[in-house]
Amino acid sequence: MNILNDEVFAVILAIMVIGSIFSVAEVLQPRIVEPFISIGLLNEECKIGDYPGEVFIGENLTLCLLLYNYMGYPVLVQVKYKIGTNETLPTNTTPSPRPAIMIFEKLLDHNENITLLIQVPIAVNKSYVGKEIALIFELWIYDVNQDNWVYSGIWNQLYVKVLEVPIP
Amino acid sequence: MEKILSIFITLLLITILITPYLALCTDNIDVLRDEFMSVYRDIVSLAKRGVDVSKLVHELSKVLDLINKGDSESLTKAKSMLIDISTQVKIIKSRANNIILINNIIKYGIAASIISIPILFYFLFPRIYLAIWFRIRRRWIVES
Repeated sequence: MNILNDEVFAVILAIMVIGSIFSVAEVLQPRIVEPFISIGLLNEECKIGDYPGEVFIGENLTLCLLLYNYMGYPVLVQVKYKIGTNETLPTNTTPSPRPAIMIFEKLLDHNENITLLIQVPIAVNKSYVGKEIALIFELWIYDVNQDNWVYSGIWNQLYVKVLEVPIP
Repeated sequence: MEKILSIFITLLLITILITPYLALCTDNIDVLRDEFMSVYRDIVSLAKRGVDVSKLVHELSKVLDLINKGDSESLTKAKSMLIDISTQVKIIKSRANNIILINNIIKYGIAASIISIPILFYFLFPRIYLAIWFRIRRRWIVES
């Protein structure tokens, strides 16, 4: 095969032109095309699965939170821990009406993820014994333009059945 | 009765002594949080302009953890770290335009280099190929 043959040369050149167009597009495109931020709930070993299904009143439950920032800039996040039921779950636009029991605050750089081992109290009264409650984790971010904390619309929940503390 | 009174007075004294300290801690935390937010806003502004602020973010993250701890030792450490970071942010802010210009020059320089590859190939490759072809065959003898 003679590389200097007109047809062979044209094919090689065409491949190079297409390759260079894609490479230039890759270099010039905006750094972040689809910004997002996420929260994940993991078990006490910081792994997916094997979540506790039953909890005692007043118990401190160990869980793990996974936070990931791909917004293109450092983001100050708050995870608000609330206890609710099916009726008081957050939505994509509104947070849960229940009060925050604990707040975890972290600063995440762009493309950074962290796992946060946490202990959350099961702060409910005895009327919840035998019922299922939702442990709600809402993700809030600090909006520098509004100078305020805003609900990101992202949350996670874990349903657990409440048990009474056994008498020793 | 006297015992109860002495306990009451002791508790009152402890409360009087602790209250200003607690108030001072709370004030400190509020002031620190305001300073923290101010530095954070500057860092976000720099990051959005394309300046690499990952080291500063890492340090600021430590400051946040110290502020959230809330004890006086942590707050003192957080304050000194925050002053350092704030100084660095000011320096970077003053150089931001140059950094952004250099980043843009590098970015468009890379794009221009990539575009020039097929053009250079088109003009140079046949010449280089022929030069190599002749060099390899220069000792060849043509026989009739």
